[in-house]
Amino acid sequence: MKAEKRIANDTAAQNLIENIRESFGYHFENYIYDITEQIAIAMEGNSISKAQLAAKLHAGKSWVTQLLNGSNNFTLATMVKLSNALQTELRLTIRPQGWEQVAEFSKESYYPKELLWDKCELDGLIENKSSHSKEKSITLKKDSVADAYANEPSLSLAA
Amino acid sequence: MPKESIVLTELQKERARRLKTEGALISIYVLRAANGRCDYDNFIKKLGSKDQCQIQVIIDNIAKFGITSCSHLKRIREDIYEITTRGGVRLFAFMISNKIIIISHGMTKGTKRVQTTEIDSAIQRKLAFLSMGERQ
Repeated sequence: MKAEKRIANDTAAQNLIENIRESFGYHFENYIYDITEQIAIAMEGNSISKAQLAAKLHAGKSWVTQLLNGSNNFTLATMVKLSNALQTELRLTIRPQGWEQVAEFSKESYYPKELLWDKCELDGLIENKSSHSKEKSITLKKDSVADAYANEPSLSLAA
Repeated sequence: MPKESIVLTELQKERARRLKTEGALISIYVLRAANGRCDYDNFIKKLGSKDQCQIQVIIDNIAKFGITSCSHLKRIREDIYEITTRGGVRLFAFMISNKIIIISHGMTKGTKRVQTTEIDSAIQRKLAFLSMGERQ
């Protein structure tokens, strides 16, 4: 009976973890974790301290600390500025889930855009094109775009 | 950090539940008591969804990519490590080999300094767990 109860508890705990992994919050936090770790690696690679990065971005050191903690919600403008300051390349890609499998199958680096979506759908890699694109869509606010083109010192870096 | 590879004994496996992560390089376990009570599970259940997500992301990334590039994990005392989220959640863990991490328990941050009683508790749990390996 004890063993049965333990198995039931373990299953319930594992189900909770699976539910967390499927949630929006998990994906969102995962992107934040990913980008902050990449920034930290780029800073280390370029031997740039928090203070130096802050000076390059005309921002305070505390803002950089907040950024590396993942406390800020990154705007595209922030990411472009960071990438330039760290002399790195920024790439944002939206592609169907399971695209690597399609590329491997076709022995090509990638399908033409339209074919890739269709191929993934046929293979059952994605169920619904529209729901997928909705999940990954990036919305740019007018203000944040305007911010990106404003004079550097007056930029509002905190998102 | 211990370098040698250690295999968990049957008793240790009974007292620790593995957190399954796809493509994991490091095995992460959570401790549970003899009666099956798991402090980690109870702690996670009580947290808000945001904290739950933050913890799970950190754990999954440590499992997949190791501890070297993770700024959320730091050593605090006597091989007890602390996994922190920016929301103020702290998990206490220890390593029994460079491939196995055991999470002891968790707490939410009250003050900036971690209470020594929590660290002492993690040390005691670690010693108890290690002694299970020696007994067999």
